[in-house]
Amino acid sequence: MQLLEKNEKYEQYYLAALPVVTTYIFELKKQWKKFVIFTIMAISFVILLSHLPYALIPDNPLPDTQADYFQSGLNFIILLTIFGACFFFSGIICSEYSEKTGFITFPIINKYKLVVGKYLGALTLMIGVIAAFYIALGVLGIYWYGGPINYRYYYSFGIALLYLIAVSSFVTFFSSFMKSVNMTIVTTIMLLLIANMIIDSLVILLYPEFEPIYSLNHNSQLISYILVEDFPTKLEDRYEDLEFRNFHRRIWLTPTIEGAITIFLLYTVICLIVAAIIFKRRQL
Amino acid sequence: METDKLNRIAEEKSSIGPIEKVGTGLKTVMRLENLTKKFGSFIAVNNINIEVYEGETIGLVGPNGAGKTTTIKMIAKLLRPTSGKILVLNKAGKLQALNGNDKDLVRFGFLIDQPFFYDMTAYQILRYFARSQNYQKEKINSRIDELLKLFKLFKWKHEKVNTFSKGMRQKMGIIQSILVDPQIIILDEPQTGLDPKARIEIRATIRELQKLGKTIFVASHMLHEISEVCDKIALINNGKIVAFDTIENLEKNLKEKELHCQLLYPIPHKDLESTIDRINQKLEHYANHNIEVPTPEHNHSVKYNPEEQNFTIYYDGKRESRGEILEILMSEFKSNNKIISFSQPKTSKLEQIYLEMILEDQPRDGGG
Amino acid sequence: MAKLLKRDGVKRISLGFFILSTILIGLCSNSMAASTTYEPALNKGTVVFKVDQYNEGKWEDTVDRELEPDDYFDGDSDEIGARSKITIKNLAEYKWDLYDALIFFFDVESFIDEDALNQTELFYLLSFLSKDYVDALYPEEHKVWEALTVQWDFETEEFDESPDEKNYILPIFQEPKYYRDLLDDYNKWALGLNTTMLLLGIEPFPILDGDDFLWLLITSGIFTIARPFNSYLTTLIDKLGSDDAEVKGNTLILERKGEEEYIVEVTFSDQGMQSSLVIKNDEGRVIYEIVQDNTDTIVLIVSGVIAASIAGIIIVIMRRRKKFKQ
Repeated sequence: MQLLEKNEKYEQYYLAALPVVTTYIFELKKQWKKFVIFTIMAISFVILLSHLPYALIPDNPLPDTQADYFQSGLNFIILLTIFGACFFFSGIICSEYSEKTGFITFPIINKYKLVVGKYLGALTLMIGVIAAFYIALGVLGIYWYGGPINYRYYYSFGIALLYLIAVSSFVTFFSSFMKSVNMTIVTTIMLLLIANMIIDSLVILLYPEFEPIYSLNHNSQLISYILVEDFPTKLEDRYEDLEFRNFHRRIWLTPTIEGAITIFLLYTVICLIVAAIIFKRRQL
Repeated sequence: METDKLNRIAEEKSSIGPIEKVGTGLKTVMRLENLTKKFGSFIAVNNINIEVYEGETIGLVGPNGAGKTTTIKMIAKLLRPTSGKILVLNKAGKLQALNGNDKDLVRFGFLIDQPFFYDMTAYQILRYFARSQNYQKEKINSRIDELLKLFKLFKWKHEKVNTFSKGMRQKMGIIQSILVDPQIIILDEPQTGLDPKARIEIRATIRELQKLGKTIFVASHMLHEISEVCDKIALINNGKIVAFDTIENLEKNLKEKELHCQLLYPIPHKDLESTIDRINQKLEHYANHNIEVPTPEHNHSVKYNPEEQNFTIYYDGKRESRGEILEILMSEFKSNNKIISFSQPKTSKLEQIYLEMILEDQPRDGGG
Repeated sequence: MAKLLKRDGVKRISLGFFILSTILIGLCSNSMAASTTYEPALNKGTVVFKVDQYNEGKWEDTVDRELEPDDYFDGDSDEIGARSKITIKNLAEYKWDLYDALIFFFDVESFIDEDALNQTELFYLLSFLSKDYVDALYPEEHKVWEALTVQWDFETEEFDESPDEKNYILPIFQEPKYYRDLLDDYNKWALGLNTTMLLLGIEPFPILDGDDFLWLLITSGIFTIARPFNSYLTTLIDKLGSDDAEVKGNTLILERKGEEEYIVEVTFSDQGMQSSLVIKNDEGRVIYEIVQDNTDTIVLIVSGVIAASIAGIIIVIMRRRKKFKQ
């Protein structure tokens, strides 16, 4: 009797998870090519930016330590994450409406399950891309400096993943109300790259003392700055003041670790909740 | 116009409640109860009541913008009704309202508009759809092959769907809608983009599905395309069901209550008004006060067409009335004019009404 | 059309790679002029050295009773298993004169014990060491490939993150004869200083012969040679006039006399760096040995694993495609 109940329960769980799992696997297959392209791009950029300039130009000095090398090599990760997230996540919701594909075939399946499957699939692939970038840079780090890999490199990877989740949630949020995939890609890239920078610059210009803790750009600096051996614990060590005649500008080097993690999580939670609400209300 | 009158009648009917079922002993698999959808102040679907019985094929026919796709999207839960209910048969054999907890409902198959597909092969997409809907794993491949062969797409099984023509994609849409062997199949404009041969194939497929006892709900703006495969037709216009019955009943009702009378000479212009008034008065007794009167502004049962010098007379359809009307007309025109023919029309009035509906309506935003 | 576009895409990518390669090759070829006879073999990267053997008793009996290996090789080099590390950051062409050699090679600043000197002695000594003075008397410049390095001294624990020495310079003279020239200049300079009346009171700077200079080079840890190694070493010994040295392949063998006679064997790696240093007694028993700890294996293993994974994925995809087509 108990066994029967257990079996029924198992079947219920199986049936509940089936759309998520199949959609997840389908998403992996669907975006596989994109994954290969982005992975090749990621590895190529690591080689182009962090290997060839040192390998082919004898004058060009290597950074002093492996951590310094990783720090300079990780500058590209922000761009890669933004572009990758925009391309992988922009269609999560809006493609279903613009192209009337998945959801219409499942009137009796909870559509959230499909979105969750798609999101997890895209996230897995993007984690793969980021991991490929880190592995390639890590191998080159070993190549130039020997092993082992600096332990803070793993922290950086963790923060990069949190940043990826925050950016992907941001894109998913836009996907929940935008009409087409291309529009979502263009809008989110513009917002994440240009608008964010303009807003940050304006804020810093108007309120030089104010730390732009709200900004994904500012918080993303932690990905590379976490590699600094003595991570600044005091506020005054986290910025540099530029003075030129009457002009004063504060350049923020890094956010605090806990601050950046909190902001990434906040972005993730808020964007996903709002996206879920919009998605629930959205009609074709 | 005829349709306005029809609309008024339909309005009266729908306000009474659910349309009465025609057959007896049949199980209801889907019921639309007072279904209404508004987009702001615009009413896309207005108080629709339709009952679908097991094994029936219902055609929802109307011009573009009539509210067909909106109705179907509400059934597919892509749109939320402003008011009213959609009840669907569940696995326990009872009707259940469509809401968030739909896992107990019987299987649906949907084709909405022109389907677009992910950039994957036909096989990959169909396999995904089947797996997601928990179709038996070991039967998936044979089912996909069977359907692809049926729709002559087998050759392109491993080709990307994005490279398919519009017609091929439409076929893919139909395949996905019947893939998991659903009990209820809802097709929106299944003939769109298909060549005549493919349209015949679609009709044949629908007939095959009918033989299997499937309940089919098909929306189209092409009456002639689906009328021959549908058990019942629901004519929809401006969001309202104008008429809903079997095709035979609808046609009988409309065709047998109309008479055509051809004169030898035209009625002189100066006598026209007085002649028509006089005939109207004489035929008042035989007039049909239900749906046939085409000129509601004058509420006359006689319509004269000066170019063709003929009358159309709308009457109560009784056999004895027909003879008496002929006598009245013969006496009216025996001196200065002559009746050269007196007949009942052979063409379907249903198509005529539908044609008028299409002509008078401008397409609206928001789909069908 | 799609095929045409694809072809265009491939063409564009190929063109992009071609332009990029041209720029990079251009940069590379312009960056360093090669010597006619010798060329540097040193590449950027990190090399780890390990103290593999150390017989303390034999060291005291044979090499030096007072000084231990750490006095020669710094750090914990008197501990078996201690490791040191050097990262070569870049390689550029410069010119060295005696002043540079005094600072980087002969390390004359370490000879100055300011506490033991009076004001006048200190003044005179510093004036002897001033760049203007040295450059005026010994203006001859020698072409050198100079590697900028960071170094970690021998440690038994894991390496600290920050190096012990930053921007440490490692010179490779383009011609071995420059060592002779610099040694001669140094000896002249030291003699001049040692014979200055006002500096007679201080401990004299050593006058070095070829063998001493070779030993100084070897223990400095910066002795690096250019390709072809055998020819470079043979010419060097010949120019220095080292009677106690000989060359076998890439190995320099030097006979020394400490407490007793002993042999020093220095082997150079394919980059021209000292890859091993073995000190043996005259019976051929190893007293002390430093070897290069080859980290290339790790890179090879990691690269191998990645290459195997990529190959695996490609094979899986190809097989699946084949299966689908069937």
